[in-house]
Amino acid sequence: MSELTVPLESIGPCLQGVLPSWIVTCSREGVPNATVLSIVRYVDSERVALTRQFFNKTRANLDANPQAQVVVVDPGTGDQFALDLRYLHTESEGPIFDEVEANLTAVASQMGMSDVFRLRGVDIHRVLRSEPFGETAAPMREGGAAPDTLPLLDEFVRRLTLCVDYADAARVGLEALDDLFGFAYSVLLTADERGDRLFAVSSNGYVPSGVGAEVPVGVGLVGVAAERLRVVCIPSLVRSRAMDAALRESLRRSGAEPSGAEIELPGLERVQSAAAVPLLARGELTGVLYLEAEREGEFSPGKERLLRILGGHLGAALAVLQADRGESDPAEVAQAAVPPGDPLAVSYYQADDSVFVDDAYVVKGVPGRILWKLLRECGADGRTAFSNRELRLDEHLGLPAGNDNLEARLLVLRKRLAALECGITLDRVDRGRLLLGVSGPLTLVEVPTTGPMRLAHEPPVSG
Amino acid sequence: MLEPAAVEFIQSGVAVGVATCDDELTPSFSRGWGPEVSGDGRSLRLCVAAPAGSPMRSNLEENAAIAVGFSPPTIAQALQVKGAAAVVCEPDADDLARAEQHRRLFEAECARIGAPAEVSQRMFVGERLVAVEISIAEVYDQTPGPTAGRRL
Repeated sequence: MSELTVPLESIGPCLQGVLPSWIVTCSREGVPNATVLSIVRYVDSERVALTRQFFNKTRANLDANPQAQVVVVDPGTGDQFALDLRYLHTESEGPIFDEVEANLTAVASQMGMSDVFRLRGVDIHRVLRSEPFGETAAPMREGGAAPDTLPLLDEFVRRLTLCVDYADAARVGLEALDDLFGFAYSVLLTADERGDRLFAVSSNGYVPSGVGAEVPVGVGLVGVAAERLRVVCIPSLVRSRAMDAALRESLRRSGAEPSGAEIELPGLERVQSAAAVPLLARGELTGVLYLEAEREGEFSPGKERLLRILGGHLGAALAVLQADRGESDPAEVAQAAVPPGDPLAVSYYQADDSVFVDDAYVVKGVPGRILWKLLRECGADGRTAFSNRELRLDEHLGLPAGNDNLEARLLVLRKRLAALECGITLDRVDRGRLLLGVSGPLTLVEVPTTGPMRLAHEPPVSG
Repeated sequence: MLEPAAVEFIQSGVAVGVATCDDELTPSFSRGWGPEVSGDGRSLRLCVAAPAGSPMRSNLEENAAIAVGFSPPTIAQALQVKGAAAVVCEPDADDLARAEQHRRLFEAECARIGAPAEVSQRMFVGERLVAVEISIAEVYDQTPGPTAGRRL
């Protein structure tokens, strides 16, 4: 147990990096140095970690004289605490480094600055003394003041276990995060079959929903969480953006160029903090839960732990329901009379499997291929009833055996069609059965490609 | 010598961090308030929270070495001045007026990153201040990025 006057555990909000801290050091010659730093991280009851990025003089001083003092600020109260430190060593690998590096990489990638933010190491310091600073009194000890999350977790799991299919779990899970834990803005993304992209299948709190949006693995907050299989958080997007602008200016002065464009975050205009939680099944990435908040520091270390648990349950429930293929043959081939509405002009582009209805973009990729198949069959003989099983067996759709993500793809397709109100609907009518609805006669145009996707659209060679 | 742009930045209401050290090379931190650069850009005067008996007070009285960092709460820009504390004395009315004006500007700076006024007000200490006049020896650009640490 810590012998510190102010235990580090009692000043958790100061160690999230919402408000900057100051670090002072002193050279061997007795010249002091004062620098701001974005975060002092909690390691354990006696140690903290500081990142080594740009603090050249601080680094030189610590190598010569390991004494330092940092002052940290509670973003909720303005209370300040001074920590007297002794520099122990620098870690450039291991769990603390990996955790800090994943967060920094996520922030840098989000801002398109991956080549600038290079974490050189994490300096581990022993905390010799911790005292209230300035007008601050010693913090109140929290005696079980935190809300008991067990009943809430119990209810979250209960709601998920009642879900009957993938779409249900995707909706119920995000709604429960809002109802029970106050995570009001969330996006659920699923990893695609190749494992190099994620696509949004469901969201809560956003208008428009953003369903269908794609994120490359390794890019941005969501992409880095997926690549590293780690929860990553940005405690203060305002500061991250200001830092980004400063870095771009600094790069310009030094004659270099930033590495890329800023990746737009989906969602809130006034987002202050964000978190991305990888979802796993059988040890492999299946998706990412992305959360935003209008308050800085929303995703504290305690919340990170909670999100890991919630993400674990959500990921497991989705994996089970995705694997439940709901295979059933179409009992009868439903055929509808040609509807009397206005004709629907549908174009399909082989190049990227994109589908347009009356010139409005609907969807692309695998959901585009699926929609095109359904519409072609409907246009040919008026068929409107389909089964998941026949989609899985249709080789033209190119769904990989075992991990086809069909439920997630159909969910994206159904939501896109419903949101567009383009005269075409797709409803789940029973386990593994789909009903296509068209409001008028179809005019179908397939636009061929001569590009790299040409082979995928050629008829199979017989014999 | 401080250039006009640096003077403007220093006096704009950004956070001010003061570092001193004792004979054992133990560094000590305090916040500074109401910085004012002299007309020739060669010295800087500010108030420092340094109650009697505190390490900061004894460092200032026994050891002239001092560093003062300046940065907004976004930490998107930073500058550091190093030199010697030429004068350490009770603050006069002008010093205290500048400290109070700095507090108001600092409050606005903090509001830019969403920190409410009561939070930034807690960081201000209006009592037990000492006035320190620093003879500037070195100025460093500490803005994050490849140019961090460049001597100006």
